[in-house]
Amino acid sequence: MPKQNNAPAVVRVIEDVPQQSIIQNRRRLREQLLKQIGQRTSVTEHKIEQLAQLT
Amino acid sequence: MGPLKTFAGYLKAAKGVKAIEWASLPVIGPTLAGLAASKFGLWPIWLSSIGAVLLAFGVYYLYVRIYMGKMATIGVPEFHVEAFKAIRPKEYEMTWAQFVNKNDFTFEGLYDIVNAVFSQNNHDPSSVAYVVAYSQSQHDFLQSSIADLKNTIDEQELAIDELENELVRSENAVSYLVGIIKKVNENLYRYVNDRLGFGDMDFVTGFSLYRKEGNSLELILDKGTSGKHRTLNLDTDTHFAAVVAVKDEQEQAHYNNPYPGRHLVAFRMKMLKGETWVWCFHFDDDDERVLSLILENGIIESRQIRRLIHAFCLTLQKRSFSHKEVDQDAEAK
Repeated sequence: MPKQNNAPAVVRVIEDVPQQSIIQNRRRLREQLLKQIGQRTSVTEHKIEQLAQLT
Repeated sequence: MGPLKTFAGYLKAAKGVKAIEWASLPVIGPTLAGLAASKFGLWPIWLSSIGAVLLAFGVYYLYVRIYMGKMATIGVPEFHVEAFKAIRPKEYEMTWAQFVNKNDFTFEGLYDIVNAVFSQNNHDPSSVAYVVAYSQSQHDFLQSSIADLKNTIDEQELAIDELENELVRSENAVSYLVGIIKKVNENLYRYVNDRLGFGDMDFVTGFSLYRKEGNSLELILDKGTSGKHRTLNLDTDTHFAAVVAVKDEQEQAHYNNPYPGRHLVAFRMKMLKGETWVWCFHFDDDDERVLSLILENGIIESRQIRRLIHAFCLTLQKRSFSHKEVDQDAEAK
């Protein structure tokens, strides 16, 4: 079992993030993801229409 | 009717007969009659007639067979789809069926495609190479489109998985916070009943609690740790998160890994009567609940958890002072 007191470990500061920022960040990521899904869906529909015309 | 029309065409084309001079008929006629009589003169007329008819039908049958073969051959003027279907059904299924067996199939549309192909080929519409090249390019385009669509589907699935994970993380965060609220309620009831102690403060995770005394940190209590604690020197034990934290006037959280897989988060607390305490959370890196509450700041603001601990410590410290005063009063009496 390793001991806490043996090897020096790097001590780092944990940056505090306000709850509002956490929520905004998560919302932004979620919207980004949904936007990507929407764009891919649009491109997919366009390609399927092209394929339908070709076949 | 195709073979009959062809025969009629042959007759029209037989213009060489016209070149024969009528004046020569008296010579040609007896010559041909003589030849025929020398060969077939012994046959009865009815036999000659039947033979002629059978010969005509035989020739016509052979011609029809050859003509049907042409009708089933792509690229010749006599080609016909239905003949192709009847004579070469397997090839028909492989090539024409996918065009013809459609609700919206028209020969005009097929013509447009073929015409587009041939128009690219300057004055050589019979070039099979261009047809093959066009088909190959179409095939490649379709394959590329299918590959793109598959790739898009994979990306969409990943994005949907990420959204699902997001929901799970949010649900877990709510669950963690509800768990904290339940323990806080429990501790408040224990406080009212004079049963609350520092041992009840492990509702987040295992901890160690230090008091600053001079140039060192003295352990007040620990719970859920290995128990191997000692007095920490503020000048020499600078690699300890607790020592770094006690020097931080801004009371930020400080973090380190005492050993692989183990986390320690320490923060300083200003206490009553000018005392300074340091609280250390101890937890493993597979404890998602504690990581979420204390370290990640991903869903929950970890500072609020530290403030909760601070508030409970102040409460317990204040109570300990009042108990001491009561004890001192009792001793004085």
